[in-house]
Amino acid sequence: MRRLLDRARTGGTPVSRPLSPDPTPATHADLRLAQERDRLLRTELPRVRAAAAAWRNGLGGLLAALVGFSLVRGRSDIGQLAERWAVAVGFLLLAALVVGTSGALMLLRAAHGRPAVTAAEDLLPSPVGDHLEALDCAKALRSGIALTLACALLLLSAVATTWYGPERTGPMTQVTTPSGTFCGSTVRVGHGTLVLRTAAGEVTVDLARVSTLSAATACP
Amino acid sequence: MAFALPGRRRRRPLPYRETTAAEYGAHVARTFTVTEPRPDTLILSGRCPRCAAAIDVPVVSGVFRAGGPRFGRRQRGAPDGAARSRVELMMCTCDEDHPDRPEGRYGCGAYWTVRVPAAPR
Ligand SMILES: [Zn+2]
Ligand SMILES: [Zn+2]
Repeated sequence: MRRLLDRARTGGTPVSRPLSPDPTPATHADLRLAQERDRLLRTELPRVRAAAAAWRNGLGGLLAALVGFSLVRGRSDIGQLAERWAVAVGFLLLAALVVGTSGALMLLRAAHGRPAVTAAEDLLPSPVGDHLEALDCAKALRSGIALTLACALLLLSAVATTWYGPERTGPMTQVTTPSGTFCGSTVRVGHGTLVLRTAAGEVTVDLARVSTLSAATACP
Repeated sequence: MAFALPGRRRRRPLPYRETTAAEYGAHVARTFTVTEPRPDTLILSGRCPRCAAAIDVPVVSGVFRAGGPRFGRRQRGAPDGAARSRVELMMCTCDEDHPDRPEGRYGCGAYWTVRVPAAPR
C-alpha cells in the first residue's frame, strides 16, 4: 500500500528495473560524493537561472547597441544601395529580427522558466522536477546564446552590406532607332547625338533617327 | 503558558549520524520503486531504511555547472559486464528534523549503495 502511495506521489510509471544490493559496503567517501551530488542538485536550478540572467543582460546590451547602431547607420545608406542589394539588406534585417526574437525568448525562458508547466512534471517530486527544469533551462540557454549571436552576425552583415554593397546607378535611357534598341546610362548629349554607356560599350545614337526614348530603372 | 499538543506528541527524533549498514542497501533494493520520467533520469522512491522518511532520490546523468564540464555521474567501480548495471551511491535526503545535524546537511546521515540496472537498449 505504501508503495502504491509512493508511486502516486512520484507521478511516473514505475519501470521494471529491479534494484539489487551491492556486496561492497559503502564507505565514508561514498557519503561525501552523495552529499556533493545532492548539494549540486539542490542548487542546480538557481544556478542555471543566475547564469541565464547574466547571459540575458550581457547579450541584451550587445543587441541593443547593435540594433541602435544599424538603425542609425542603415536608413540613409540603404537608399543609395543598388536595388538587389537593398533587398538583400531587407532580408538580412528581417532574419535578424526573427532570430533575435527567438533568441531573446529562449534567454527569458532560461532565466525565468516557461509560462506553462506540463501537468505531468508538476507531479514529480521537487528534486527531480527541479533537475528536469534545470536541464530544459540549460538547453534553452544554449539555444538562446546561439540564436542571439546569430542575430548579431546577421545585423552586422546587414550593416556591412550597406557599407560595401554596390551603389545604386542613375536612371537608364532606352532608345529605339532603325538600327536597333540601345539601353544604358547617358554619357552626354550634344550636336544632335546621344552617347550611351551600354553593357557592350559606348554607343553614339543620332537623335534625329530615334523613334522612342524612355527612362528605365534598369536595362534588360 | 505553554501548550502541550495532546495526541501529537512525537517520539524523540533520531539524531543525525553518518552511518551505514549492509541491511540498508538490502532494504532499499527490496522496497524502493524506480520511475523514469525521462530517458537518463531515474527516481528511486521509498522509505529511508534508518529514519523511515519518504525520500525520492534522483539518479541523473549530469548536473548543470556554469563555466565547466557537466558534473558526471558519480559511480564507483567499473561497470559490471557490458554496463548491465551500476552502483549508485545513495544517502537519506529527508527534510525532517534530526538533532545534531551540521549546517547545510540534509537527511538523517544514513548512506548505502545499491545496484541499478542500466536502461535496456
Ligand atoms: Zn533517513
Ligand atoms: Zn529523516
